[in-house]
Amino acid sequence: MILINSLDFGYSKHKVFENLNLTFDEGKIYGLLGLNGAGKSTLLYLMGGLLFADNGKVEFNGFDMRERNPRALADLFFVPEEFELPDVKFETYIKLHAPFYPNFSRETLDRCLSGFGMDTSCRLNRLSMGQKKKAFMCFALAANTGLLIMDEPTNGLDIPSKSQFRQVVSSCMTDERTIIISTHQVRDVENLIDHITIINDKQIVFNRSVADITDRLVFTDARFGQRPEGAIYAQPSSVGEQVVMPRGGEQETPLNIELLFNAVLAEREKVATIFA
Amino acid sequence: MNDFFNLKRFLLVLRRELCLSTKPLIIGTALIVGLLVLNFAGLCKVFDVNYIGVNKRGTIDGLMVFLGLLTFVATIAVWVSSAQISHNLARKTNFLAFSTLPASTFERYLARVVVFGILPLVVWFALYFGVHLSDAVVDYTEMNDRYQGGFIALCACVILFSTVFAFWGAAFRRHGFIIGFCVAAFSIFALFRWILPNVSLMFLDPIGRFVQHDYFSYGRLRLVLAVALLIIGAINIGAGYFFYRRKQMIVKSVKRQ
Repeated sequence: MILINSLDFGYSKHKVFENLNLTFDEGKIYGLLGLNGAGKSTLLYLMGGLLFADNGKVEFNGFDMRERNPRALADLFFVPEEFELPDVKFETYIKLHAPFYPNFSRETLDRCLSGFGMDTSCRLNRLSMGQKKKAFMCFALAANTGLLIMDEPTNGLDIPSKSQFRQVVSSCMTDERTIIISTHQVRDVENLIDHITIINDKQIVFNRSVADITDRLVFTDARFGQRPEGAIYAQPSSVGEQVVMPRGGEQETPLNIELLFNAVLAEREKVATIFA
Repeated sequence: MNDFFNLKRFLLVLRRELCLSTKPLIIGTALIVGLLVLNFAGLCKVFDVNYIGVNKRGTIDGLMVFLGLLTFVATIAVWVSSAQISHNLARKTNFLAFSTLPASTFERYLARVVVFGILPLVVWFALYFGVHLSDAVVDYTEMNDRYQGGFIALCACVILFSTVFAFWGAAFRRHGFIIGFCVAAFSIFALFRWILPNVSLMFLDPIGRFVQHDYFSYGRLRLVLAVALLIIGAINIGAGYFFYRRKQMIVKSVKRQ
């Protein structure tokens, strides 16, 4: 479990977080959303021990991440948005890095690589960006760490690979594992994540499970001039408007993350009232 | 399992660093030596072989010029390598990959000190002592006291300033090598003063005269030099670890921390 208590953090004069409190539990896949510059990557770096909070604490399984304890790091894997892989064969990379992760599973690695249509015979620096990402993510999933952090994991993946990504990640999910995905490509992870956290203006402005969201909100389309009464938020679409409204007796509708995100930022008070 | 230092974990980190980092070092070394070998004949003409240094027969030949230059270049290479202990971690991608490795900060730092600091020094000493097997250069045991003192000063400067580069590289990241180089630059002129006794280096002459002074012939001074070297080197390496521990993905001032 990740526990963030009274977190303050800033770069020089620019404050990013003020008195942030947040918890990430086991057995869930979290989607971390926010505008450009909101601090998504910064929060991930703080959780990974790559940045130190000005005040407050970031704890993972009881370890203060500022200490970069090796036992904590052995149960954590970070897949950044940008990374470089060394000029070695993938098999060599596995031999060098797998021993650091006590729960590393070769079987899981082979299964994930098979899901992406890859194998370990390749030389890492000769892969395309998308292929490198797939290889690195397969290693990350095979490490079987309690916490897996991914920053924009679907960037650079081709269309079939995005679907493969969802399948591979779902197949590796367990009740003891926490996966945190920070992304702007919400449609790539729409059917994958089961908890949504939105950062804005130095704070967490929304933090709910998908089940809770779809239980209280409906996402529907309406023609121009026919916006339902009680709609919290509406945005133009090809057929008229996409609308978010409180769920009364209506049937549950699939979650539209993009619409939810815009609604939260535009009508924060109204959304908060529904979830109060 | 000890969180500060575990031998098994350290060896895993060391193996990783050796596998991933030594290739550029080996290629760089091969390039330097290769360039000098290819330009051997030309270098002999540029440096008048009757003008520089002496060998035990009292004469100079091109091989000694070549070996002297090789030693000089190797010395610079050792210092550049020491600065790499922290330098290439200034890149975000390298820093992330290395800092999320499940090992303690001390184990990671020590592995880099071994690969980028100690290993090049071992190669340097092997090279420098190895060339003394050749008849072309002065055998240490046949040097007079002043030359022995100068030789010790040379070795001391190589080791000491490699730790200086390690420290400044950790403290100042991108600018660490430049700052360390400025600190070490005067020592290079001092070494030249010893190798080229007849060449005046103007305001740097006092440094050169210090290196050549007769008190380097006293055994006790050499002992003091050795102890000072160990203490100052240990302080530099320790201070480098202090800065290394506080490194973050984005550079923040030490005062704020």
